[in-house]
Amino acid sequence: MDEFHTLQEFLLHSESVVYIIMGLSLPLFLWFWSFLTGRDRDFRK
Amino acid sequence: MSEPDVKQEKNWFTPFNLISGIIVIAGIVVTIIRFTKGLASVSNLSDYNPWGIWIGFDLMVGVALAAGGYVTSSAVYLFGMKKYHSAVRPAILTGFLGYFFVVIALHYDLGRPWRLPYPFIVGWGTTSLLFEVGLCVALYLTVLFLEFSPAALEWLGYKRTRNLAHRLTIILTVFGVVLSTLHQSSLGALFLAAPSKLHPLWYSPYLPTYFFVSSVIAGLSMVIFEGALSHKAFHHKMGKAYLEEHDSLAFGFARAASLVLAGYFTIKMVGLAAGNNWHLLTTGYGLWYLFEIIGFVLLPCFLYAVGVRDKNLPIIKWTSALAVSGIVLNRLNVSIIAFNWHLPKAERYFPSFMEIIITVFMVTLIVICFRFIVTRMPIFYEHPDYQQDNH
Repeated sequence: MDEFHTLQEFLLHSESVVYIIMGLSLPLFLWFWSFLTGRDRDFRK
Repeated sequence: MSEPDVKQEKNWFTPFNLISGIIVIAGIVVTIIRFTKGLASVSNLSDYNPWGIWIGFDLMVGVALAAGGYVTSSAVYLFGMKKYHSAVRPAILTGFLGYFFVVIALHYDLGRPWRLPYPFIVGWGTTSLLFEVGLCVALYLTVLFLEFSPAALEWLGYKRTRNLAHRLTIILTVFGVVLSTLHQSSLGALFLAAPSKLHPLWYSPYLPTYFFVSSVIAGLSMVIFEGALSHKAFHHKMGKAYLEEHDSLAFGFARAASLVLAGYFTIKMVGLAAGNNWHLLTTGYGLWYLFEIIGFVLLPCFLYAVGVRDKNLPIIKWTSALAVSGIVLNRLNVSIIAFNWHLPKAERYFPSFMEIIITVFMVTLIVICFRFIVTRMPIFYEHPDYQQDNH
């Protein structure tokens, strides 16, 4: 477990991880949307 | 489409009637004991554990699974997805019965039923989250009753009253969404008052958001799940429109549920990161948390997506059961399993046999009422006199 001595250290660490997760989630959502709708055109034909 | 033929059931000794009859008799006996001899005579509730399965399952799960009403009606009336119109009445009925029996079950926990309106007529506890929950449930139950009333009035033949109730549809839908958003989230907010009692993996400042977002998943999955069960049990009561729309409804709702599950997973990870609780994942509770997240969030998200991509209806139906189980597990985790997690085993809560009987009694009453209503009222079909109104 990480050791934090100040609230600033804790927030810097935890919020950095939050930003990384949110940054990663955006392209992952785009990929997931294309996966979800990938075969729609085939079924419409 | 006229009303499908009704086969009168003459044999009363069917397996359904026998099993439900036994449960109802047992439920009535425990009810009498509860209201004559008090809470302690039937439950394992204590000062450490004042909320048991009557709150954790009957209320928390009941409210979440009743979300199909506001999800479906807002999809159809607010977002204009008219192709799902035939699913509105079954969803509203499920929501109405769910909420009605939530209030009934609440009486077992609270006692003194005549005091239920006190928060609204005697003391306005406006600083309490429980007051908001109570007010929202009372108002939303009224809204659901009014939303459901056209079906009952069509059955009774009260044309003018039915037309009046029908004209209120949009405003009731708006009220329904507002009230559901408020109280689904405030049920989660209740646990913000107990940060030291709830395990850090489940406790988060985002609990209200988690409860609201997961209620959308519950609503979408419950409509698919209930539709699949109804399809088997009440196929003969279903109109042409309902049968035609059934598959596209399941695919549409599964797609939405898959997306919301993906979003829910993301905000759960954000909550985990914000609390920096990663190290807890290797503990016993951590493994249980991972079981919930992987088995009942990620897996249904993936399976729904596969079902939608491959246009595979059986996968979607089974996944809806998995997603509904996930909501049940999540609510039980928050309110019972991960609650008071630091207490020694001897002080931990486990429901008594009679508490479980009451819970099964409530579920059975919902099924009996649902069956009674759909076999008589125009729920799965359109009443021939009002077909134009519904489009």
